[in-house]
Amino acid sequence: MTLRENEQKMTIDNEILQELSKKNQAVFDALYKEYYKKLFVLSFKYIRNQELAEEVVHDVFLKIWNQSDSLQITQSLSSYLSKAVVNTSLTMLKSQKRELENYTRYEVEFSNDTDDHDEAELLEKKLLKIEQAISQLPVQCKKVFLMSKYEKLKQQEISGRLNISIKTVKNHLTYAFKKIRETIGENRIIIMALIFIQLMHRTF
Amino acid sequence: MRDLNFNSEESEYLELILEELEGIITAGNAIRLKEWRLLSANNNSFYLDILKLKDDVELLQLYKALKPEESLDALHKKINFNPISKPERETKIRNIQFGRWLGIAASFLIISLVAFYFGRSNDIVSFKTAATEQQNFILPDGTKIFLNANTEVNYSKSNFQKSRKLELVKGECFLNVVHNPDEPFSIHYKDLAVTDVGTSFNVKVAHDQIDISVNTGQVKLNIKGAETETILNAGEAGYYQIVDKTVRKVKFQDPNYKAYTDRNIYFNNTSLPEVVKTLESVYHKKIVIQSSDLKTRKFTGEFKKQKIKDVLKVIAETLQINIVTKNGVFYLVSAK
Repeated sequence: MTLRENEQKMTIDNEILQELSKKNQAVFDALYKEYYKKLFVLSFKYIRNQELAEEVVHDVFLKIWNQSDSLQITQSLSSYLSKAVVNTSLTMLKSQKRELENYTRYEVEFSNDTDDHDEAELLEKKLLKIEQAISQLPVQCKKVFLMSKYEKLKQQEISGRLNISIKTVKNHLTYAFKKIRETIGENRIIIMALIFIQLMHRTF
Repeated sequence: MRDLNFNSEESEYLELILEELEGIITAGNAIRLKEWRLLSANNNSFYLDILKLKDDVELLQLYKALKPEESLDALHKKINFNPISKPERETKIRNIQFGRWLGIAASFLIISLVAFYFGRSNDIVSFKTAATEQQNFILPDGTKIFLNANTEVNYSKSNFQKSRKLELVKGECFLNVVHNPDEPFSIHYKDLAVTDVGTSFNVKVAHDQIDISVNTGQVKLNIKGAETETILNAGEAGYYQIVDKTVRKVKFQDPNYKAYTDRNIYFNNTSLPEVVKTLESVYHKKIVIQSSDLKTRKFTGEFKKQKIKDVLKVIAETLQINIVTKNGVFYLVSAK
């Protein structure tokens, strides 16, 4: 994002906030629809519970609506929402302390290194990139991969359903994983570059 | 050349990682994988990348299924768009639960509509169960059929009166057949026909093999194109290999083969991974053995029509295990 685009975004954000303070429901609804999916999935990534993730997103937007005249937003609205979702999720997790232990394996990524770090945006980009990588897999390979991951079928079941050997199922799955991993690998480099460029803009 | 070798090594271990994620890795390979991870930081980060990727793919699936409009509607109810008010937590939770029940009811409706549609349009009646669902039905001749999860059976409405033929498309079912010597009852899977001679029996599609276990009476196995037939008596089991079309007959059965129909389960010095496998197939709940030292524990005991929670409680107390429940998944952790 160039500095100019950034400025434009800030102006739009300010307009949105003004409309919210006037209790403009249409703007509120549009904002919600735009951000809901990525904020939900971000919250879910932390708390691993769909009902609670929904509650987190609702709470964040309720706060925005109820306190719209006193909101202090210093960064972009988008990264403000991301941070609010992460904080609310972590608070909710802490209140259910016992369950926290289970999530150590999903290393939670804290990144306060940049002001304008927008975790929801990054996560969404990554997921869409994965979706694209899946869509580009060879037909049969994609089929096996989706059966395994989306339908949660076991390798044996896939082999039975498609009438292919279990070795072929394994080959398709390993190919798919490697291919998708490669594509996100590239993606990661691009994101790093973007963050770097943004930092440069800020410093100079 | 070096690159190629590295890649094939990666693929080999990737296979093991996927097996581990699915819980089908052998003990020997689990150790091999662990050693490989310890070998270099690169290997370990590859391993973690794959776990993360698997998680991200699940997040993607969730992401794609989200419906902003529905969520917004729910939010509107909390706000009321009147004077600013704090939402009440209790009503919120009730709303969500009601929504969930509505969802379940809707999915049942879809299933029955599909069955109805097929029944009407081309005479084929189809019974299907979802991944965590079990159902029992009574066929037009009075035969009782119990479907395990992920199962599909079909029959032709017009032909069923004449010849009682059922097609098993996938999964597992238990049949209690109303005997009629003039109209034999049979169930078919690909080239295999299982015909009753007055009986109750179980048929299960297990990867490349069909398991038939006879509870009472007798069944006859016929393979299309083969002359010989195999008779199985009560207490016996037959294993049909789909690929080479052979039947192996044995005089003993898995004591839990029909536990999914009656929830009567027997364990006799059974290893914990086997216990978990049986319970998963009976209750269709995910159970994860978290501590690897638990995998060698053995359990002996019997359960009659109990809930999975109570079954696990008994096992946990006997083997001194802690159970952590999370999102409907049971995690078994060794008690310290």
